[in-house]
Amino acid sequence: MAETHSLQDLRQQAAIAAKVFIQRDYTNGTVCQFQTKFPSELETRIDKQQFEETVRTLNNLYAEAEKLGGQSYLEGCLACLTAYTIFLCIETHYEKVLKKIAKYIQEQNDKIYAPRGLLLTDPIERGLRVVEITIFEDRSTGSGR
Amino acid sequence: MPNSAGKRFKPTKYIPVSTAATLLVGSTTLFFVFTCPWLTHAISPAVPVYNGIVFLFVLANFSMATFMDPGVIPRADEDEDKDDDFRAPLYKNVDIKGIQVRMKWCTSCHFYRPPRCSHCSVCDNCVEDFDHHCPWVNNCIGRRNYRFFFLFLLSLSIHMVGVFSFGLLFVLHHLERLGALHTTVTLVVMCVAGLFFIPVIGLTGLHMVLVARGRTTNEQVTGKFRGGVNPFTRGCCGNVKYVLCSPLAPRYTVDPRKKPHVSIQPPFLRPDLSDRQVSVKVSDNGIHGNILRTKSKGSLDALDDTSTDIGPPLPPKADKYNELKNQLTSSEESSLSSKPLNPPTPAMYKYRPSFGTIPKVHYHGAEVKIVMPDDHKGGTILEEGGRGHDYRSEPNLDLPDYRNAPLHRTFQSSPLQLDSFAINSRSLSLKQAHRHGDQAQPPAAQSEGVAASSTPYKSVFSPGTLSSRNGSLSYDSLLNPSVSASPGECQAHSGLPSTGYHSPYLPAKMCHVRTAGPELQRPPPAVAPPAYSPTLRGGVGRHSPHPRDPSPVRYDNLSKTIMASIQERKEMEEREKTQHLQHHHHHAPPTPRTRASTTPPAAAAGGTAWRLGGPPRLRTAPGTTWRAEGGPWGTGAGRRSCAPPLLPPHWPVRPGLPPPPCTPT
Repeated sequence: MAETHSLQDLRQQAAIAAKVFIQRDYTNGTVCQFQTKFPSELETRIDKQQFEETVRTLNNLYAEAEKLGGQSYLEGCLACLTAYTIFLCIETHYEKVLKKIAKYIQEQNDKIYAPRGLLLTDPIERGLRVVEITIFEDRSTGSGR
Repeated sequence: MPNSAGKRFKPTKYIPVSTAATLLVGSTTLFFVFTCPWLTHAISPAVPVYNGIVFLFVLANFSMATFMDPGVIPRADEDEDKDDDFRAPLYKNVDIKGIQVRMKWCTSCHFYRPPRCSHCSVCDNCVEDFDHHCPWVNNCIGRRNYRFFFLFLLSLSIHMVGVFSFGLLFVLHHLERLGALHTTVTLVVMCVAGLFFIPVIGLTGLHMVLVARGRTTNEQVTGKFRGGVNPFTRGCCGNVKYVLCSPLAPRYTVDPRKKPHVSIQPPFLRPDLSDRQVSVKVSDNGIHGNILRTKSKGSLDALDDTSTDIGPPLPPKADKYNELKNQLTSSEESSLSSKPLNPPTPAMYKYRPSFGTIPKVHYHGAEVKIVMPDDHKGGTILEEGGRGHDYRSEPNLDLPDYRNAPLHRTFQSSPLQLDSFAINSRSLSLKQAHRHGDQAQPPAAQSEGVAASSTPYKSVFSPGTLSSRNGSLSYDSLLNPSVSASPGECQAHSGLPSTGYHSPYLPAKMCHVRTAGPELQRPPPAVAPPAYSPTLRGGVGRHSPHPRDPSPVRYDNLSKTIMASIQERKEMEEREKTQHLQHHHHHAPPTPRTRASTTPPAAAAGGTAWRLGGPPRLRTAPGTTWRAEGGPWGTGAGRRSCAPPLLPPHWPVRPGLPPPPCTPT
């Protein structure tokens, strides 16, 4: 993706101006949550509410992924019974939610972030440590930051 | 035995795991071949079945623990690293359920290790919820495979108990034929099981305790919770459930083919202008438009800017000040950008403090006053010329030419110079000119001067970073460097003033002028370049009524040293405040004298200021004096000015004048 992006950027004269990293929020333990604090770098790009909504949705999805529930019990038992060969066949609950998250991020990028010159990166690429937001600037008009 | 077979190439690394696997599989096989047939006949066919299932479970868990990614956190990319590089040596504290947990910077992976994460020296990876590196499975045990490791230990213990007890049963029934092959093999298997039983059961017991208490081996061994509370525990039951039943964490890698593609196209939507943008515009307006603007500006710059921007003597409007304030913040953020380019200039020391100490009222007061006189001047052009010199901070001593000409003009033109404030401000600029006299140098050089500050805080950081910063440095900016600006920008800021600083202090200045009365407003030309003396400045500074803004420092990021120094500063500030109140009156009177003096600008400036400020000062506590000059943050700078070696060469030129800072003693 990186390659395609750089090519595209050249053509469209949209260059990466900065990157903002939304850090993990550890106040509730090691459950995967991200800080909803609005980074000042995005002030000129996006509404605070929109941003917070995105992060909150992500947090909810991660909470769902890490929830101890019937599905995870069942999965664990099945895995034990099949000597973990089941992992070769099915995708785990967490992976399903991650797919959902990837889809959500894609959707948010298409609808909200990309038109504003921003790009959300799926946290899984950063080891769930940060949400990376790339800020693009418009070189052609010089309006970039 | 996949591992032992496939990894012959690095024997040493794989010895333990091969040994373990060989022993496990070998002895179990022997048990099945030589012992189980009799057990099936004599006891029940369930015995081999049971042993088979347990063995399968052991093997499955063993392979999972061995081959599964333990939760390796991918290293940070360079772009992210850039962001954190500045803080790299520091720890970061996070609050977890009300308990402070320290996150250490990982120099290999370039991020702050999340809580419970540790870097494995064997695997050279940061592993989430790191437990330990297990040579017997040749893998780290972390968040993803701890469950399998734990189950492996449990099932292995059960398996060993089973093998040993069934072997014992077999032997007890064949006591009369101990020499037979079957009995001998069984005895050997029993020996192996017995030998390894003790360590294995010990390890299993340990991990059962750890699981119940919600700790990792790493935390237990390093004594993380010794005498403390474990913020990660979920209660005994919860911990067991978490280990055994929580959803399997994902691998932190994404198939590149699956990465979504989003096209970013240049016409970007933008929300309404933010306050910040507005403030920038404000700073840009005015005469200085031709000058390059940079986000990062020292307080000096700010002074100049105001002077130029504000044509009439009238005080700027309150709202403008607010905007300026906003900008101030932004400028602070960006102030770091220049650091790589500019080496620190010691000469700037005196000035520094004022820049660095944005929150300090004292400095601002002085600076603000400077602005006033400028406003009164007829021509902005004139000002610019003089100003330019002021800003330039070069070690060169050539200054006389530059300094005299521009300064002189300035003073004559400004009616308010008599005002103590004006004097102070002048002195500041003069000083700068003298010290860094080389005005011929390009603007870039100027920034250097601004950058050099000797405050304790800065010293904590690497010299390179410290030196380059503008006066506008705040703790926040130190800790969170913004993206570095382009070199051009850096150059610009030295010369270019940022309005940001004035705003809060202008009111103070206004008050002063009014109080001074009309007489002050007719300044004799001589007054102009006054004051090297810190005292005068200090006096002015004290007048400023504005309370200091709380510093935006994020304390958690600071190391203990920094914290200590901050504490120290705070105390000093408090002291100064009290002193300030006491001595406030002493400093006000000096203005009349200044007016009287007819000496040429250059000499008069230094001398007058000195006399004015000096006498009262002497009575005041010495601590106050230097304080006033350097400002709370600039203490070091103030002291330095007194030191002979640092004095600019041109000092001797004015023999009559007492060396301002040092004389009071």
